[in-house]
Amino acid sequence: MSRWSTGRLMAATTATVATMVSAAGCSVVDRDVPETAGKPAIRAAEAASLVEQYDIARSRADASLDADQLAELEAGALLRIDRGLYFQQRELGLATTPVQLDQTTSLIAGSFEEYPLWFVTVNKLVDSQEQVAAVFVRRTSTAPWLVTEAPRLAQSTELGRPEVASDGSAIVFDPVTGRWSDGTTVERGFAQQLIDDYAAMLTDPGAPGAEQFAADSFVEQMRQLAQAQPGGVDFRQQWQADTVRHVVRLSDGGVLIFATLVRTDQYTVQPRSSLDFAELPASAYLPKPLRASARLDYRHQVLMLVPSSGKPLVIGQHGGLIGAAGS
Amino acid sequence: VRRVLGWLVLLFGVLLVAGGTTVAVFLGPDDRASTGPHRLTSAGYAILTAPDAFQYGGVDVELDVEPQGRGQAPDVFLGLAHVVDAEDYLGGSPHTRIDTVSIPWDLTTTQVEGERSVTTAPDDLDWWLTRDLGDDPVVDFPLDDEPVTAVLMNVDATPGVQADLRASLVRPGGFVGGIAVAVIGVGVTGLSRTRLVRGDSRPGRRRTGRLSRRGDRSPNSHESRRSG
Repeated sequence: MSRWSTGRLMAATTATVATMVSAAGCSVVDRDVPETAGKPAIRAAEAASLVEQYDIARSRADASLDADQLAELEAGALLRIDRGLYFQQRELGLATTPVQLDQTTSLIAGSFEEYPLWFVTVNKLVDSQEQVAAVFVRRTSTAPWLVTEAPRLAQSTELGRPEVASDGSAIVFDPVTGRWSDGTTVERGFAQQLIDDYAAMLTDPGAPGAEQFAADSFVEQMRQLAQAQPGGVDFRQQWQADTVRHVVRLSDGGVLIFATLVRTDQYTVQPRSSLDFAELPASAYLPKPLRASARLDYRHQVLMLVPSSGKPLVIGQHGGLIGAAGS
Repeated sequence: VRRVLGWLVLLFGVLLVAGGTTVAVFLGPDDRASTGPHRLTSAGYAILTAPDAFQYGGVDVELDVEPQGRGQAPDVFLGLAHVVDAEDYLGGSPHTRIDTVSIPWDLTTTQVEGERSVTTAPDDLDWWLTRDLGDDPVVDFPLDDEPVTAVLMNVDATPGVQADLRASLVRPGGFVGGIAVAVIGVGVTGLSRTRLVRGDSRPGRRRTGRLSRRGDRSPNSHESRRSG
């Protein structure tokens, strides 16, 4: 001991004390509370619980085709679509296929500095070749979580990996401020402009901006439906885009855009002709043949992938008839 | 140089004794420093702390409230929330915000005006990080860098909140740690003092020091370094 230099003695003492102090937990430090700090929309365990509750309640609503129960689970255009399906199934006595969610394969949850909060879960559907990307939204701190968008995807479709911040939250876009949640900015209306152009292309294949999109299966399906109209009527179909609210950035630079499209099919019946929707969903609203005109209102919720390279395309959709009128 | 370092070690030891003793006395055997009860009153819907009201972290805080008021005081709700949730819930409504909390006890507060009514009872909400309610609710939470706020309300979300608050800073193991640090300080102090006294009274060591200052190439210097 006597051979120890003072420096060694001091170093050994300091190390010992530091260890003891750390072990005793005597360290009191200045707090460094950030001025603006986001809150993760939800944690994985809470999301799993929420999905389970939704699944149980949705199965119950499907079994009774009870739109009031549905309104406690869903909101916005999705509620209108699914309420329309309930109405058609009830009126036409159609067989019902309950929506049952299987395991969650992906959770995309951003961080938010104010309400509304939202997140996305991707779940396989039981007894189906599809999966659903469900957007859960909480509008205020006192409101329940409701599903507002639920495009279906093919079982083989992969969304891509969302880009995440250092706290693990997904990088999401605020269309109001034009800011990504990591602070970077882009042109505020870029997502809305894309969906507006897509809707314009659905209305008119030659519309300006139509060439920027890949020929996806949704476009093909809608074109086929538009062309398969009965004779003796003039048919016009129009598309418009609803406000885009939910956008996610992918780790490869791509972007996912959840959007709702408003579709209006208008029929003008030619003289001495009639229009009959028998055995079609529209017959739930218009059971008798029409002599003058008809208007069918649809909503389609789509999930658009804007790849880091290549043309944007719709990779999932869920839609249906929400109302009809005619004479 | 060694004498200076020796005195520094002695000073270090004294500081350890003083610091460790202070921590042990401050926290006591139950590892907590408490203050209160202190009366808190608001004409609004809530009394809440600003996210940075507590300036020091690394400790746990325990809050214990007892509702007060004329007649039969209503039960109160005490919860901890992320500031995003609390601001959405109480923003726009009249409430009292505690801006700073100084130990042992000094508060600065702001009366926040507002028109909005709070209609949802706090216990009906699912985003509280921790919560308790009744006639003697207690919550405890770590003070880290998360932007959280402690919220005190009537359980039925009616305006007019009055309660006595007892606050405690809790540091598990702090008392034992403080004593351990003080004991180590005593040891360091004694050791350095012994070294200083012995160093002063050993001429051989002093001579070696003088030799080594002549130059590294002297035989004595080499011998000295080998033996050291």
